Amino acid sequence: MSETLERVNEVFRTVFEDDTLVINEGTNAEQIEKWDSLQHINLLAVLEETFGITFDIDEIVAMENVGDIVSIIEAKKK
Amino acid sequence: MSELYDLLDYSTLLSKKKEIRQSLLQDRNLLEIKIAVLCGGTFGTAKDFLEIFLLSYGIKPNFFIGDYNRYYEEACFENPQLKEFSPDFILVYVSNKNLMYYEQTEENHLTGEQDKWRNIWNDLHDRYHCSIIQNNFEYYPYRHIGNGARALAGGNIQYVDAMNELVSKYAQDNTGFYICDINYMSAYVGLANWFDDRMWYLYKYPMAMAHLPRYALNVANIIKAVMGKNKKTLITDLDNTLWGGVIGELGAQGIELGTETPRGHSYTDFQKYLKDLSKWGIVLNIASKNNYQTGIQGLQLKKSVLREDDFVFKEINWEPKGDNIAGILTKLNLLPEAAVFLDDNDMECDSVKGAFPQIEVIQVKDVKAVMDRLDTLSYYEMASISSDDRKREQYYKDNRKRELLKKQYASYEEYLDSLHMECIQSAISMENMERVVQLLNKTNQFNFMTNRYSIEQMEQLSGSADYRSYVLRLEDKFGDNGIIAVALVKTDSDCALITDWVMSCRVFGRNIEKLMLHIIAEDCMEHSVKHLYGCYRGTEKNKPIADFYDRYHFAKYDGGAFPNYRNNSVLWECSDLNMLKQITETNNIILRRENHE
Repeated sequence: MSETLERVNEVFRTVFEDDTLVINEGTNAEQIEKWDSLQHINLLAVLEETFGITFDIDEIVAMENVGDIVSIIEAKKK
Repeated sequence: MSELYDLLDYSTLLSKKKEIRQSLLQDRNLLEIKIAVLCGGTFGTAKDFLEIFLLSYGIKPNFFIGDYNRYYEEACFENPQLKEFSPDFILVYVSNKNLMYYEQTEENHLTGEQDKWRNIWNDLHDRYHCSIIQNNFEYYPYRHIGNGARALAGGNIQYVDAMNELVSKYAQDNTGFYICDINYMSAYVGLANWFDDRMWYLYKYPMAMAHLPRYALNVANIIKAVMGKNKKTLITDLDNTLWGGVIGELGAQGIELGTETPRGHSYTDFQKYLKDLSKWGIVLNIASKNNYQTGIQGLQLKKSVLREDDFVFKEINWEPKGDNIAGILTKLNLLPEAAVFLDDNDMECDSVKGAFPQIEVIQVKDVKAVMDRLDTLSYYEMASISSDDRKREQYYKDNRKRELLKKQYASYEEYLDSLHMECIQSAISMENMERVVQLLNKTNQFNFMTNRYSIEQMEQLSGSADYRSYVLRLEDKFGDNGIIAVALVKTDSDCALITDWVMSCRVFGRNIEKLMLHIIAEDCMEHSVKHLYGCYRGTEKNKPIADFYDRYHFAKYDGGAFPNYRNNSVLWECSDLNMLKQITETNNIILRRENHE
């Protein structure tokens, strides 16, 4: 698991209040029961805070799975 | 709950909300209320946050969340679902996005806007008879014509000002209408931080996610104030708390206070903050380890904003602080949960926390941080003010004189006689409504049912034909004590039930309860009532009156009258009203009747 994915995993655990949650690049909203639009917003907000980044509207709209999230974060950190 | 302050951090609150919620739900004395939220934007996660903050105040909310941007329709048209929900509070969750400034072109567009909002509030009041919490409006982030936006007619900043003035005016003129001041909150965090356009464009949140906790706390604070869950008093240390340094070592001239030094200046500002609190009726006291004469010298300095007179009880001695605090609370007749304690010493803080887990203990390291905390957590949030509030400090000071007097008399009866007490009896009316509701909601100890009411509910109840109400104001040789007892009696043919009865803790031991029973017994007899009933629902705090009716020879009752009260309370019956009238005769109080009807 890449370092970014690991930290994203931590954020998922925080937002979904589940310490055992394990995600991978293919994980999407259909696989996590609580991942609804409300939680998606919380997820984005905590990711932004954790990584010190800001997602653009277009990026938010295009996100489909954890892999998308990780690659956007990694691109922004460069 | 001191961790409350840390929960203002969005991620922390988000990650802990489930855990905190579960632990808070363990409390069995939670007060249940119903909150309807009418939305101009997405309320979303604010609901979870609001629930957490309310639970931490001992209030369990049930929610009705209206549809996005349907607040106007849901308020101003028939709404059977909302009616059925029967809210205690309606939160009108709107922002400047819901103003029509950018949709209007006419010269007098503000008039139409103001009419719209007045209609919403009037309709909500008429239909639901509950408390209304209205967000006021933040400034727009852009102002197009610079400073002209405030100076020139039609400018968008001036427009927001006019709207906020309307909201404030409405709150002043209408009881049960409260402002959630997002204009202040957005200014506090800064407009540039308050908004997050992406959150609005994508999800219709009117503020950045990071500020949802602050917003939710602010709403919770209004509700807890209305429900009588405020702190009422503050107990403070002296050295390194009200001034810099230890007065016993440095002498009065050596302590840091006053505008000449930066650190002294910060203590002066802190003293001003506390002095302002006391102006709003918050009772200030001192618990300090010092020789009395030495400690008090600090407050006698010209540069000390706080004067000896600003404090009601000054426990400046070498006794353990816990004992002094217990003494102050007893003399004030207040429970630990009504108090905030300030001290710079961590050992003192820990020992007070250990002895009184319900006291809010704040360790003073930096007075600025203390002010931030007192302010943000709004321990003394004031939703409305009755004239009695402002006089509270005076009441306690008068009480101190009464205590001194007590020591001069051989018997307690003699002491009571010497007070020259006079009770003025009236019924609940618009004139005393605010104080009556406040007393019902704030009283925990002498309160038989601990029912909480909104002003609107009380208007309806006291206005209905089968209820009689009794309000007592007390005067004595030291002054006016204000309204100190309220009882409500429901009649049903020849039976009558005291459904609610509260008495202020300021007047315990003055035979007021005896007089009230006497008045009720007499009034019942005049209205051909044969059986008088009392009810009692136990809580943590009203145990001392669990056997109150027994003391006046009421018998436990499980017959058929007033079946609705059977589920949640113990009923008591008195069938000999003549006897009750006789044993409640008091010679120490003169009774006057005032008729408001």
